[in-house]
Amino acid sequence: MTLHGQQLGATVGGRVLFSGLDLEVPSGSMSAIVGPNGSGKSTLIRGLCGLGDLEGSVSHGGRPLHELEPRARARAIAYLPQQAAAAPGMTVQDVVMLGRLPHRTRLAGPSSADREHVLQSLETVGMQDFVERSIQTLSGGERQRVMLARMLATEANTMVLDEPTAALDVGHALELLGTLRGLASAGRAILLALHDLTLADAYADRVVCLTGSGTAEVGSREEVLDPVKLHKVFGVQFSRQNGGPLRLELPVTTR
Amino acid sequence: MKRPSTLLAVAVVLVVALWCSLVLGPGDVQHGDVAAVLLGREVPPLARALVWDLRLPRSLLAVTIGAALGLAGAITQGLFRNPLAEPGVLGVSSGAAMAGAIGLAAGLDASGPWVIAGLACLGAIAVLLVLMLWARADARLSTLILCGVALASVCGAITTLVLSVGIERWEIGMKVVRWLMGSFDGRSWVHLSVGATALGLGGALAAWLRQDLDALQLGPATASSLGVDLRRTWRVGITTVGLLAGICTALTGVIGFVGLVVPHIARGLVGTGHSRLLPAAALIGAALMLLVDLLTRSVGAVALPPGVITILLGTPVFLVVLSRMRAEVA
Repeated sequence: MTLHGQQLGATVGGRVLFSGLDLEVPSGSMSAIVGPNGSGKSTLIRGLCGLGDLEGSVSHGGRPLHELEPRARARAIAYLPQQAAAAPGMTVQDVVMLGRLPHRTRLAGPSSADREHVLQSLETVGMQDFVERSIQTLSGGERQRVMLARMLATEANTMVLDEPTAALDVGHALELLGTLRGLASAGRAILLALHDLTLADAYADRVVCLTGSGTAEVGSREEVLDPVKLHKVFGVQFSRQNGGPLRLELPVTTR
Repeated sequence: MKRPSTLLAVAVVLVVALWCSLVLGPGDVQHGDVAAVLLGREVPPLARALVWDLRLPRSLLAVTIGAALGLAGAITQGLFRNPLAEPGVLGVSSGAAMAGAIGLAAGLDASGPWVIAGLACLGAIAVLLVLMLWARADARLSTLILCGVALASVCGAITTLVLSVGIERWEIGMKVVRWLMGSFDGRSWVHLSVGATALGLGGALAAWLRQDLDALQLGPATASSLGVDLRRTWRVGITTVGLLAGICTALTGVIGFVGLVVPHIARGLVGTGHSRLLPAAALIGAALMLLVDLLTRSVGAVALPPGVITILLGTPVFLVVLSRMRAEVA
C-alpha cells in the first residue's frame, strides 16, 4: 500500500507554500517532511490524510482518497496531529480504544477482538501496564506512546505524524523514532514531519524538504539533506563527512 | 464503570421519589390508593383524579425534563469539548424562551402545545448555530462562554421587549410571565406526551452520536481522521440539543444548571465514554429534577418555579468547576 501524492500544491493568503510536489510513501519505509516554520508541513500532512484541501491528487493503494468513505480512509491512514488532545478523565484504554472506531458499526460497542487489539497495541509501544491510568497523569513521552498505540489500533498501513517529537526530550524522541523505525521495518508506511534535520537524516529513508519559498524537493536523505542546500533554506551551517551522518555546525557565540 | 453501586442507588432514589411524589400532597391519598390506580383497580374518584390526572403526569414530566436536560448537557459538553458548556449557560435556553415568548404574545399557543414547543426548538437551534460558528473560529473556553452570555443577554432583552409590549394587554402579559417563570403545576398527559416524544427522539439521536462524541474528546482533527464526519456530527448534535432544550423550556420554563451539574456527576460515576455517560446523565437528571419538584411542592404555600431551585443549587457547583479548571490551568 503506497500513499501517493501528485502535483500537490497549497496556497495560504495568496502565498504559495509549495506547488507541483510529487511524493510516494511506500510500505516498509519511513519518510520525513522538513522545512522552516510556516513552510506548509502541517498543511501537506493534513492534505495527505484527506483532512484538508490540497491542489493535485492523493491516492492510497491506487484509490483516490476522496473516493474512500471516511471510516475506510481511517482504516487505511492513521494520523497524529501536532498537539494531540485528550479530554480530562480519559484513561489510556479509552484513548487507544478510539483507534478501533473505524472498525465498528455506528451502534456497536467494543468487541472482545477490539479489546485484544488495544492490548496488543499497548504492548507494541510498551504501555501495557498503564491500561487504567488517567492520560493526565502520564509524562509527555508516555503520552506520545499512548497516541502511537491509538494509531496502531486502527490497523492502518500508513501512519502520518505531525512533529511527534516536538514536546519530547532527546531520549524520548529517540525512543519514539526507534519504535516508528521498527514499525516501518515491519511493513508499515511512516510519514512524519520533523524539525530536527539530524534526526530526519538518521531515521528517514526519504525526505521531503519544503523550502518556504514555494518550492519543494523530494529524494533520498543524502540528496535532500545536503549541507549546501540546507544552508540556503535554513541559513544554518551543516556538514556531512564522507556519507556519514548530518551534523549541525553551531555558530560561535560569545558568552 | 467506576461506581455502578452509586448509579444503582440513584435509580432506587428515583423510584422512591416517584412513589413519594404520588402519595404526598394535598388530599387524602393512601399508599394503597396509589398502588390500586397504577394497577388499574377501583379507587375513590378523588384519589384517582389526584394520582392519575394530576400527580402522575406531573411527576413523569419532571422525570422526562430532568433526563432530557441531563442528556442535552452531556451532548453539549461533548460537542463543544467544554466542561462548562450547557444549554442554560450558553444562552440556548434563553433563545428557546425568547422564541416561545414571541409565539405566546402572538397568540400562537391557541393552535396547540406543539406550536410553542416547535418555536422554542427553533430559538434554541438559532443560538446553537451562532455558537457553532463562533467555536469554529475560536474554541477557547472563556470566549465561548462569553459568546453564550452575550447571546443570552440579547435573547433576554428581546424577551423583555415582548413583555413590555404585552403588558399593555394584561392577560397576554401575565401568560408570558407565567410561562417564563416555569412550573410543573397543572401539567397534563398532553404535556408529558410532548416531552416524552422529544426525549425519545433525542435519546435515539444521542445513541447515534455517541461514537462521534467519544472521538471528539481527542480533538476535531483526530476525530475526523478516525472517520467522523464533523459537519454531520455538528448538524445532528445541534438539532438534538435544540430539540431537547427547546421542548424542556417550552414545557416547564428555563431550568438552568441541570445540564451543567449532571454530566459532571455522571462522569465521576461512569467515566468519559458516552455509551455510559449519556444514559447515566439522563438517569441522574431525572432523579435530580424529581427531587427538585418534590422540594418546590413542599416549601410554603406557593409552589416555587423549579428553575429557581436549580439555579440556587447549581451556581455553587458551577463556581467549583470553574475554580478547579483555573487551578488545572495554573
